[in-house]
Amino acid sequence: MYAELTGVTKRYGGETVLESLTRRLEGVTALMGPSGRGKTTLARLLLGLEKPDSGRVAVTGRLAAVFQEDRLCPQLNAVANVALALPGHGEALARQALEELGLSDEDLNKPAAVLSGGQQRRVALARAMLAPADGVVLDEPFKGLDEATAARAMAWTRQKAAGRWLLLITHDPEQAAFFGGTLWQLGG
Amino acid sequence: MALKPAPNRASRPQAAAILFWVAVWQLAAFLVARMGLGFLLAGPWETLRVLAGMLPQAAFWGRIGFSAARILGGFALALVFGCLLAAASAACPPVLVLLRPVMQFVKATPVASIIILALLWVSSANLAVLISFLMVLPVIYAAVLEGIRRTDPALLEMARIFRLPFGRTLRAIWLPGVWPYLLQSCETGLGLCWKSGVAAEVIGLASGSIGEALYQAKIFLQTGELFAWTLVIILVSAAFEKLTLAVLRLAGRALGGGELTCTRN
Repeated sequence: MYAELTGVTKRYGGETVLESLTRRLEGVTALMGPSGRGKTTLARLLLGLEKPDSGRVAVTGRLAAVFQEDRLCPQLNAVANVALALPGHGEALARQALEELGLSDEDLNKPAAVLSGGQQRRVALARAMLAPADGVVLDEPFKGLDEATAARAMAWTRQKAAGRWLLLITHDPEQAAFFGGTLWQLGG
Repeated sequence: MALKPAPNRASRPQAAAILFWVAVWQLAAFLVARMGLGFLLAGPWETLRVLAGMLPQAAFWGRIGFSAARILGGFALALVFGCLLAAASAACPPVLVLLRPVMQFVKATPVASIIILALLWVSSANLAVLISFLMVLPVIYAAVLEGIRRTDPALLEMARIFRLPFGRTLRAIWLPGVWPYLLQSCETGLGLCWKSGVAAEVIGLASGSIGEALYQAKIFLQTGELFAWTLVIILVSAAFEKLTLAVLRLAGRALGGGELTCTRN
């Protein structure tokens, strides 16, 4: 399973955000670069939310993602938000994953709207990593987590990433190093 | 998560205001009666006395059942078709373009014109079904369409990427987006369907209906009965509004797996 960019160019108005990008994504790739250099645009292209102005984006299989925003259904509780993306009734699996990520039993049953920012982020992460996907795009997935929680979430994510391609967008070189794989520096 | 209603601090002054106007009504009825024109205005006491006399009669409940079945039938049809047409309009722009003048026409045309026109096509017994349907349809349609348009696009993108099945997307994203608009339009539509439905019964003289009873009371200058029936319409309309909204809220919880209306994160 892989994703492949061939000569991809993307412009907004008169500004070229990505130019003639060619790359094959396999295993873990950590994407780094200054703000405004097209990292999120690249994620949206891979997820099929935008089309390139020229070039080709080829992605095989199903995808999952953690977006810059959490994009949780506010009325559903943490478990239901994760189970939403799982085939059949995935509540038990979702519950286990969220507990591993440090959410308390009480928090699991709260609507997403009343969870803290860090809790919402972990729910979004669990949803992406448990979904039956062949590729995962994680756009700053550990944003807003304290150091200990982030470390726990990173270890959990690395374990769940096995067997599929993963694009990790981050500003943190330590996170990139932790995940190993290929480092891709964009526009810097 | 539903917000708890704030304690209604205005309820006491509101009750006092209602009592004040009832007193004014009683006084006006007294003065009119003193002038020998009592048949023009029945007071609240007289209205309640006539209503108490009507309550044990089977015909009274029969009329309520007759009108409620037809008026609420029209409302239910409008609810179903309003939702379906709004969904079709949101999914297919030509449908939106096609329906816009129809909805504008129904909204702008006086209800009396529609009633008289409709009398050419349907029997007076079923006129209230058609009229309440036509009056409520644009309200539900516009509200559901607005709800669909305002559904969070970020959540819809998420559903697309995760390839959520349609049923899950409907329950987790579309319904919570549309639900507050639908509830609001139902509240408006329920009042509207009773007003227009009874008006249709008065004009069409549907046999066995509340509207017919109102008309007969007016013809025979039985103002006590006229006021009593008007009070009945208000009470029945309010009761059905509360009941329908309670059922819809319960349905919302069952469908959405939680409260459907909730602050977005």
